[in-house]
Amino acid sequence: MEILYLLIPLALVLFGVIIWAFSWSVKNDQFEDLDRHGHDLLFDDDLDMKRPSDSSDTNQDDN
Amino acid sequence: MTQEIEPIPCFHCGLPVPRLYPVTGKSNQADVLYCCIGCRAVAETIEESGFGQYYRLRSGQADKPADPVADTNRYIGFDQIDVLEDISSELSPNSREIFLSIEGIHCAACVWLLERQINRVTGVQEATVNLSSHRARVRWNPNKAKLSTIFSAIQAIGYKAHPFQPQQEEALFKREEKQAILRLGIAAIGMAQVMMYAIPLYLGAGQEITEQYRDLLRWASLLITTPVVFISARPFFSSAWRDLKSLRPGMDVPVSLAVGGAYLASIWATLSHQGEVYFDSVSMFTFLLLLSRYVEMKARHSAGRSEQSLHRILPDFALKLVDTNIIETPIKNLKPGDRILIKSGEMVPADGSIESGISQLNEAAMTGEFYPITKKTGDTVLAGTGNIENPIEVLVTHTVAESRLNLIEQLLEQAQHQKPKIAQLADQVAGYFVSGVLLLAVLVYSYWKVHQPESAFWITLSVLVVTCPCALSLATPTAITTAVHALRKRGFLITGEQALSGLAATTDIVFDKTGTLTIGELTVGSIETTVEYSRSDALQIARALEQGSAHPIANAFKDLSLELPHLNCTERTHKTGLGIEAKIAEKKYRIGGESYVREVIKNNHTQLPESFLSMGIYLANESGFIASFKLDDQLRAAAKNTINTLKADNFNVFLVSGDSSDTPYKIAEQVGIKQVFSSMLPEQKVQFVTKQQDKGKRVLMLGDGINDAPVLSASDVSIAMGSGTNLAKTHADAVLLSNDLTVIPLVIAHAQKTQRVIQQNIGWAILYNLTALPLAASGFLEPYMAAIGMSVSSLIVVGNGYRLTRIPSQI
Repeated sequence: MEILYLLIPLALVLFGVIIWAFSWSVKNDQFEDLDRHGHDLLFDDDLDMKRPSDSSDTNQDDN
Repeated sequence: MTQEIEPIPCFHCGLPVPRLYPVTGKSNQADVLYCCIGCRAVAETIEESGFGQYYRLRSGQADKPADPVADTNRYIGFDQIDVLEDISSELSPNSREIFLSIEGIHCAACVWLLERQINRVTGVQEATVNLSSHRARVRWNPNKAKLSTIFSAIQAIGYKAHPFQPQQEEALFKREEKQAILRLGIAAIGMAQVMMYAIPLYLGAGQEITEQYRDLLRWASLLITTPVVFISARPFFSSAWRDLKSLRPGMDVPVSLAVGGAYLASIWATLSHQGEVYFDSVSMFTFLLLLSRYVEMKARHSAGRSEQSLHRILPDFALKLVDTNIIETPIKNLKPGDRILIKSGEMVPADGSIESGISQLNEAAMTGEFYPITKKTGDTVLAGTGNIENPIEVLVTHTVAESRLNLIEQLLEQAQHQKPKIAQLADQVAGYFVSGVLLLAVLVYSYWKVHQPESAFWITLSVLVVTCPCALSLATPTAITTAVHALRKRGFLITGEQALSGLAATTDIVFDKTGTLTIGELTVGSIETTVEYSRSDALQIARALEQGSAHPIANAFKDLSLELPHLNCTERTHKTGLGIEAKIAEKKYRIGGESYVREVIKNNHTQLPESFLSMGIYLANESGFIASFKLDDQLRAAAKNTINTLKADNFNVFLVSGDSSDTPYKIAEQVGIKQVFSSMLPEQKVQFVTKQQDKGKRVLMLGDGINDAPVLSASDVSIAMGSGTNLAKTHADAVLLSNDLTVIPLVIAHAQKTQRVIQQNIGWAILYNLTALPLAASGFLEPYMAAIGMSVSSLIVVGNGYRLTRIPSQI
């Protein structure tokens, strides 16, 4: 059971790292928009890059 | 000839499609119907750009586009260099950044669509849109793209953008939100760790766990709980301290006492190698409380944001008259004494008085009245009202910041800053509770000090832990915040403290007519024509005549989609309050009231065809009457179904309207309301509600206008329509953001369920405290058992509350 003397301090260090990483991400706006990103995977991201070839691209020239 | 067919919702915005002349279109090869050409234009742009999946993935309806035709000129003022510098910031010579506030965002699909659309503009470097705050951040290269192009691109898909300079309040919201997330996260991570260490501690208690490992686990728990207490639980302590200083102990006092007491006692136990530690209870309790407060804060913030900022209805620029020149000036630079020109169809940008000109103004934003009011030289005009007919010259009397509109907005903001009162009842209870518990603890301690001095401290601690009102303090807020959150997802925003309990107790439901059961916009209801003209001919002429007018009557004709081409009008003249005259193919036509229209007919003795009687709007040319139109307000899509459901649930349903015509009766007949009261003044509406209340009824009022504000306040609980006036919304306890009436029966059912859950929770919490207290005071309860009991009772309460997350779509 002596291993606990290594594992628990290690866990504490990890705890510190996690808290630091978490507060870093909060401060860097990673939690800005909690309502949205859950839906992100539903949308086809590369749609504009791989346009179906039959669709006309006349809208590309924005006005 | 009223038809009883349920209106078909528009494919884009969900508003009813006009009965007579729907706009047809295609989406994904299927035929669809639109309510107006604006919606079709927007939908086509979206489909053509390859963004058609927006319609399949969105979870809410889009707003009806205000101005369908993308008009780059409208935003050209933003390209002026001084304006550009004012509203955006330079990152590098080839890059500028601007923050936009965007109206009309409803769901993640909107955000996706907007980001794609803005990024498609050549010269845009990066565009991100935030769904929670409805803000966009755009970086672009000013040498390659004009700002006005970006604005028009947003307008082309039916949204409205405004340059946005973050205000103090916004920054405050953001800071508050970040802190809350940080606190919640630390509590969550800490809780998970400490719980893990708690398991061997509990299992080993009284068994063979050796003291050295026990102490190791205790020290680890202590280290992890410390940031939880000092960072996460800090708001409880500071607010408890405030409460104590003002001598009004609220729920935060016993909460702090429990957290602080248990923490200190655990430290002492750790240092002195005896007693029990409660680190797990401390961190779990902190986490659960923070979670419910976080949900509450989110609801409050989104309420603040969804109160559509009043200043957004103002234009960005005003036309200032300097000598004989017209200069486009940002409205915030307007000063009293400036003279400005307001064209027809534009918003009044600042309070002032008319110097010259006569026109009709739509004051709906201020008064809720959607029929325009005639104003002439010397009359006061208010910022935010719309100039409908003729250009007017206005002498500015107040700056935008001092305008009546801004005053109302400040009132709204104040209302939002008030503390959410959800926990008020619990706070009062807590006051007595704290005093009671402290007194009891002293009694218990002194009793045991005399009889069994060595265990006095631990027994007292058990009492304190066991009486920790955790479950009680979580009982109401978890249920309410969960319900509020779930309802918000259905487009129902709760702003008042008694909304849920009021809704649950409702017996009578009173509907207003205009804007509530109906949409509040005029549409062509029926047409009568003479034999020479077909209906479409008549509508074609009427549409041509009404082009360019912003009058509500004109709106009923302007956007009609006919299979006929647009006719060209010349020499068009408006007669304020009477009608419009114009020439089509060298023939003079008039549309408007009967006497005005009659004047154009050459034969003075022309009889009005019998079928034309009491239709309201007439169309004629020099040779005689052509057609007559009856305009009416359309029912909301689900009005009839909703009323039926409510009646089936045994609610008393009333229609109370200020309208003195027979329209309220007709509407009532269509939707199936038997009890109708018409020509009611605002004070009579209030009297009606008070009379019902005197009979012991609980009244739910639904309304939308300023004239409804008194009765909304007077009723037990009130709901304002999302499309209603801001003043109505502030007087109501809840806002139906989606304008979807079908939600109402669900909301009532959910409110009843919430009340049941709260009662169960409070009942359980009290039962738990009452059983555990004597056990602890008599020394039968080990402190660790008290801690487990406390945690379990909190969890039960929270779990019960979370049953309210789901709202069934049928009841």
